[in-house]
Amino acid sequence: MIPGMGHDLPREAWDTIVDAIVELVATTREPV
Amino acid sequence: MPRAHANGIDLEWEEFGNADDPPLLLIMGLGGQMIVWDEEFCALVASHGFRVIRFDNRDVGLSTKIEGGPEPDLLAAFTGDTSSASYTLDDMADDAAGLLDATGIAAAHVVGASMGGMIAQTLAIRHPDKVQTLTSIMSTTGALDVGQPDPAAIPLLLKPPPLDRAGYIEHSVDSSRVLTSPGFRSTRRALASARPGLSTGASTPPAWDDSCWRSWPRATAHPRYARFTCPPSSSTVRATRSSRRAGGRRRPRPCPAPACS
Repeated sequence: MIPGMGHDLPREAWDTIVDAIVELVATTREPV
Repeated sequence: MPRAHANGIDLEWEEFGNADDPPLLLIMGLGGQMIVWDEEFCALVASHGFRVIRFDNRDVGLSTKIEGGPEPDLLAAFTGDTSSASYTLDDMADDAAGLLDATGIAAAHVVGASMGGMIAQTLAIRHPDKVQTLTSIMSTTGALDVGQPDPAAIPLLLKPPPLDRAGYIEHSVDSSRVLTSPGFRSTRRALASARPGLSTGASTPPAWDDSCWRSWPRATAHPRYARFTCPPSSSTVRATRSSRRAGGRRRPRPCPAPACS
């Protein structure tokens, strides 16, 4: 792990973060 | 690692996953090199079908260092006088837009952490055609009533780290003990165990120099939220004490009509 002045994303949070990204992408529609 | 010429400077960048997958741009926070986006995390994101791109912001890592300009006055900046800033979030958002151009990417899903979240928000405002979705992690809007640092974190945020490699690592590990949420014990344990290995084995240069502080944001995204045209997301995981969770809750309503259906 690379220390990043508090920017390190906790491993326990990775799935939460990735799930949020994936869900957002999946539910996004193109602007009209 | 490849280097791209973007917005008049050079940006070091790296990618993971399949080049044919939808691109996803990761933007790191203040003073953080791209490598703070853990390789395993990048691989995890890529495994969900993304071409993941991470890069060093200006004044960080192997990207261009901005020379000259006034001496940054952070205390003045905290009180609203940002005249000492050599550049703003607008410039850093334009860097990210330029990186997308340089890599032949018309638009990407954008994910930012901490100040990277602010850059991502600004990118969405200034270059809405380049942002397909926006995810802001442990960041804030620029509004003074939300997302401010824990008081215990402020002295660390104001203190420039040592310029030598060993000193930087020591400072970063110690700072992370304060900045990282107590709710994530494994991160603290990992940081503690990382210290010896990083002191002797890390292959990256110090991430900081004096000019790093010039990236302190002058412009904020808050007054310009109404111009969002892409749906934002915000992960409010209590991962850090450098910005309070309320900064993640404060966000614009997605898809303001009539831009999106």
